[in-house]
Amino acid sequence: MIPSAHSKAGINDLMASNLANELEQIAGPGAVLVAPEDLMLYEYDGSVDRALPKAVVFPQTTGQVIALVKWAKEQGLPIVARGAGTGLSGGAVAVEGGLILGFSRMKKILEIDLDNRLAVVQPGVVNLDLSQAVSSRGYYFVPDPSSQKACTIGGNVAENSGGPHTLAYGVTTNHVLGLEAVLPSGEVIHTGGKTADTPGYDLTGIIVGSEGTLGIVTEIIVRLTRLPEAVKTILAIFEKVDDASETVAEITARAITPAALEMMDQLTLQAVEKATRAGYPCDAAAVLLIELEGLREAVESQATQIGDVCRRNRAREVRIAQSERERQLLWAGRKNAFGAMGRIAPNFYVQDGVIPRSRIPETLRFIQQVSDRVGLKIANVFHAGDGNLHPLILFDARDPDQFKRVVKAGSEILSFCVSIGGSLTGEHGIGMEKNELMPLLFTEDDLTVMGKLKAVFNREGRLNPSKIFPTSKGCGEIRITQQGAS
Amino acid sequence: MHSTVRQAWTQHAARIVGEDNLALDIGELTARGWDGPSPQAIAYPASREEICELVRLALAERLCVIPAGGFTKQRMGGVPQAADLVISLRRMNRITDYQPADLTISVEAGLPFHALESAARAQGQMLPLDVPFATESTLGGIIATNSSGPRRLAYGTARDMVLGIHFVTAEGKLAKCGGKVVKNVAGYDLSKLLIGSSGSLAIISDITFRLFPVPPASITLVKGFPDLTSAVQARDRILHSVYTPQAMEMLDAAASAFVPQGKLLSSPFSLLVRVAGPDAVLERTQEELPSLVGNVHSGTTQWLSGEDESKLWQGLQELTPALLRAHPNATQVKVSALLSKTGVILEAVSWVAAINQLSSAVLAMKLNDTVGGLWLNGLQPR
Repeated sequence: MIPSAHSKAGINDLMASNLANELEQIAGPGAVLVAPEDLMLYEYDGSVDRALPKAVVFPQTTGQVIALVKWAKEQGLPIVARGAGTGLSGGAVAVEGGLILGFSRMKKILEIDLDNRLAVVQPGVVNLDLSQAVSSRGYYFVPDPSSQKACTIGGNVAENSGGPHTLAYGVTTNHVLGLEAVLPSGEVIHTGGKTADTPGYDLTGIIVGSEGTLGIVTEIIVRLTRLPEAVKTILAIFEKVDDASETVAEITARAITPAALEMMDQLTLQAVEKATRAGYPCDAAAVLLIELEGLREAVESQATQIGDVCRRNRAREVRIAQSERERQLLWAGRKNAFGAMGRIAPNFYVQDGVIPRSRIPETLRFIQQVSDRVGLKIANVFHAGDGNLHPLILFDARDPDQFKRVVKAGSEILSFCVSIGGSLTGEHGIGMEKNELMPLLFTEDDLTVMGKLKAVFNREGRLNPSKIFPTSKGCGEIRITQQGAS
Repeated sequence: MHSTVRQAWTQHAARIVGEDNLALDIGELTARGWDGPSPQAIAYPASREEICELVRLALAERLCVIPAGGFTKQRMGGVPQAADLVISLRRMNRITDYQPADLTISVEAGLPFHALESAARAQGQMLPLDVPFATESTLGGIIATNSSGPRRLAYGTARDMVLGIHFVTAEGKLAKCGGKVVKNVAGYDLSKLLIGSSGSLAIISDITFRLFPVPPASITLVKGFPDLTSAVQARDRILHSVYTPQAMEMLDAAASAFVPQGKLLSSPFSLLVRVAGPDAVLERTQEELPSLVGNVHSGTTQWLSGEDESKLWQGLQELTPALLRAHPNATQVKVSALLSKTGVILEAVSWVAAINQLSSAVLAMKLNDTVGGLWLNGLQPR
């Protein structure tokens, strides 16, 4: 007799191979993963949560997406769309199993129309690839998440991603003109178009940022923007965190609008320098990385103003990047800051709270108090100009007690952000990480209206289930799992 | 029988908002060109709670509710098929939270645009929506109709400025979306649905906007062109240049006539380009921009700044009301077109006007990135 454990595995193998056959008939040979060792690569994204899908399929056309969605409907299986898996709130994690539709094979730039300042792309196009495709002709795609070398425009649309340069020019939703999306029913809708102000409800605006719960986006019309004539990058170095945050508040209040205004504290600087050697001062309490863009004369005038504000707030040094190489290096340091944390701690947990911009000084002091109270180091690297914080709580995942303190610290920081009129997330999304905290921001009636809207598109709830909205199981805390925290 | 029923619910409505705040005479509405069925009452609630109560009453009595603000856009869209109760938010006109240091402002939906504008200006800030009917139209109405104006080229439209909305649902419940911070992706972005929904989804009660700093100074180039092609070519050269104008408008001679304050040129087509920034930017603009737009007819160029410039742009912003005052039966058509099709559309407009024996005035505005929208002002038959 074959031992029962083996026979169970045998049945599973058989089921998996039937599943693979059915899916390959739709998506073609080589477009389906069902083996456990393959699926394990798709059980996580950039967040700390994990769940194993039943299968991962890589469609190449909208037609295949429709067929896959219809197939999943017949089977009653959940579907999760996935770009590059760089998301930070578990948006691409198949928390209830089912199918993951990976968009890495739908990565064509379908049309570039500079006369009308737009491009039409498939969702799998990598963010930076689009900008690079048009930069020689003087244009770019504005949203620039730190993961822009890997993340896809489809993922940006789902999460309404931001980035350092969205301070002056707006986040993803401000740069998307139209969408093609497949609904869980298999119907295809086209929203918006190549012009703004298309008739009817702004469905584009509601699908962008819906974290894959309203439709599967298969084509995106994006706005392209003229590259600025001049760019100047300033590094302002401070001995005290308070001085740096007061500088941010004063820049905002004095109505200077830099293209980017980023802050990094000492812990971050130390990690970044170890990883990137960008020339950041490791002994400073904090630095501001400020970028100015526009006509030469406008940039010069703003640089003078910014320099004055920094010095008035006791900046130790105000350094202007002298070459494109130096500029790129400073940005490489900033954009790789999360990854650099590995140099100073085994694990980190990143948050995405937003506060009114004038409240940065007191919020950073609060975060320091939390850090002292729970006995965990917290590094800060964030979009200071729009009040979008990224506290990185450093810990060792092998220690269950530290892990409990991470959850406590994270929940306290987000509650504080909300209590002073802020938000739980500025660009990473709610996902499966912060859905239990939604009642901090929204009343039951608010959530009911959103739930009704969801039901219009996604009645059975099979599209990216258990995301955004609180589940009854919830305990009112951030949800991160220790097993995944590595 | 019918009138008894009517009595019953209007009395209930009067109890909610107070006798003085329920009008059974709808003269105010008809004076604004309302041509749908006559509603039986206009209620003027003073709070979100009163709106909720009115809507719940309407639900119980199966009444058809029309949300309203300053009644300036009653002629927009289709003619209503039914109307029982108009709910005007005009009494809800407070600025509830203004944080100049954060460049955010929260207002009740009945606040007139000009009131927000003057509060912001006092702090060197602005909400650059440049809407027509600026003294009468309310922010709730502006959002519900997605109204915008010339500077959308630089700042976008309502969808780029609204941070959060409180609204009353058709069940009479108060709900909200978004918040008060400038970057926020928590929950569905319902603001986008409400903007331009013409009151068909909910009654907007409060709105939070992001504000912008008033630029240090600005200057406007007015350039005349003998024909459409050369005007469009000049526009395209600016669009693809390093200049990022605050606004760029193209008018034909007929449209110019409705902007009397602006000292517009008498050319067949005029291109208006507004550039803002510090003095050094304006100096360079004055040197470079003329050659960028083309020096073909150098006599037809002028620069405006200060008072003259403000008057010109105010005239453009109020072009619709000016046209309607001059020609109460005019029809306005807004076309959203690709930038590359502006010329074709403008030609089509004059052609359509001619074969239908209409006069037309064309203002090609709202050149927001990919948009070449334009208004066709088909005047009353000659």
